[in-house]
Amino acid sequence: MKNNPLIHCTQLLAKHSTTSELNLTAHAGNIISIIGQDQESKSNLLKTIAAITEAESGHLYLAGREPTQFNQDDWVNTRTQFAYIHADTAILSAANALQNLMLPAVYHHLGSSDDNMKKAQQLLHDIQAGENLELLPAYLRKEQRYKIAVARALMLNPQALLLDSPFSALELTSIEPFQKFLLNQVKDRNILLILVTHNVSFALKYSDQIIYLSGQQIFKFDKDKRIQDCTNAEINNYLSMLANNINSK
Amino acid sequence: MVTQIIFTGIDALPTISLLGLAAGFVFTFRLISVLESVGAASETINLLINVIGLGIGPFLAAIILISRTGSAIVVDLGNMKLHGEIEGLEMLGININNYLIAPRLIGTAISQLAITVYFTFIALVFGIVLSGLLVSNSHFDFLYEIGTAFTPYLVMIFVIKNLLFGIVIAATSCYIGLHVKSSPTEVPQQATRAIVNSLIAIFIIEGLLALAILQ
Repeated sequence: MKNNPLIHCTQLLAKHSTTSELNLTAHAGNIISIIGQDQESKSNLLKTIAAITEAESGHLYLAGREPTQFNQDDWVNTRTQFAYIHADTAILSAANALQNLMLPAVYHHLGSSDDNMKKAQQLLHDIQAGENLELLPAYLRKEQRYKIAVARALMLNPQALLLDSPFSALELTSIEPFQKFLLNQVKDRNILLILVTHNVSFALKYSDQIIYLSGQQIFKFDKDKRIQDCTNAEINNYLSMLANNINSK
Repeated sequence: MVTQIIFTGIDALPTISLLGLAAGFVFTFRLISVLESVGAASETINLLINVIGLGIGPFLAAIILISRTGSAIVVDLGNMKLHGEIEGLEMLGININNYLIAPRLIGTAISQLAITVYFTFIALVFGIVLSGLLVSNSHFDFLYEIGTAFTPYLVMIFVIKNLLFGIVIAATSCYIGLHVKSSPTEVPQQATRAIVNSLIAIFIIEGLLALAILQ
């Protein structure tokens, strides 16, 4: 028997959306990719699923509860358990990498100082955050800052990681190791991973579900109904366009 | 909060020391001389406490705080807002009122009280010593009298007034700093706005407290 879904939405419509409604059930350990040409629509949808922006209509349940019923404590709990990170998520500019990672754990009183320190160092190592981490974020590369932001969210042991364009902040050589890191998080920690991406090869290879946003419609694909077998012209054009881009690189 | 106290209180000590010495000469020394020349020497202590301790001291300390700390808070929070750091904290379930605002309010209030005590001490002692050395040795007696003249009532007003000043300066600066939206040009504009609004707030509180004390 499957566990209760972490995220469940029925007829969910994001604000200012021109697409159709989304029905989605996502469990721990799932990988769900949101793809499509319109970046803004995809980002809006992810923010709505993360309960950061209010939905236009429909129902959203995070860990079985509707965000509209949340009080302040529920909201805090949701933000720690459903980590949302976009490519430009900023870390604290007045703190170095380790201090940035320690901050949420200390604020939420998670574990002892020593345990948090060890965990933070391990995460920075696993995510391959790079050198000079004792420096302030302004002196680090964008990729390093992004990895620190992801590691900082993971310090709180979230149940779900919702990433908007996770690979866009990375250098070409770092994409594959970062993908491996994410896959390990899903496997080892049983995290639900939902990502908005143009990285179709990752989406095709690892996703349990793929959500394609076209101008007016949302298409859902999974292992039984594969996106590669779809006959929709727009989707085929999108896939071949991205494939050509990859080949030309 | 400790960082806020260090920046607002300890780092401001050189400026406050200079101002204290200047106020000691300009106000304390002259007040003693003027009161003696008009034959009101018996009122010297009361006047020094009211003018330096409850009037000029908190007011000048507040102006220093507004110009140094108030503007720094706006720039700090404004830039954090601008660069998405505050949004990043909120996404981690961190309440910015607890994490960013409360320490600034408490730190600034404590610092305002501390630097006013320091300023008042320097201004009174320096002015009296100067007067004792240059005018009459008997003026050194004011040093002993001043210690006993600070009644619990006056101390209470002194403490409340300074804590209130500190909280209002920090609250105004935090509120305005968090109003920065998306353009870097807003940061200096909001810093100026915070300075003006804090000064107005301090004037109003000063006036209201003066009325309340008189009644």
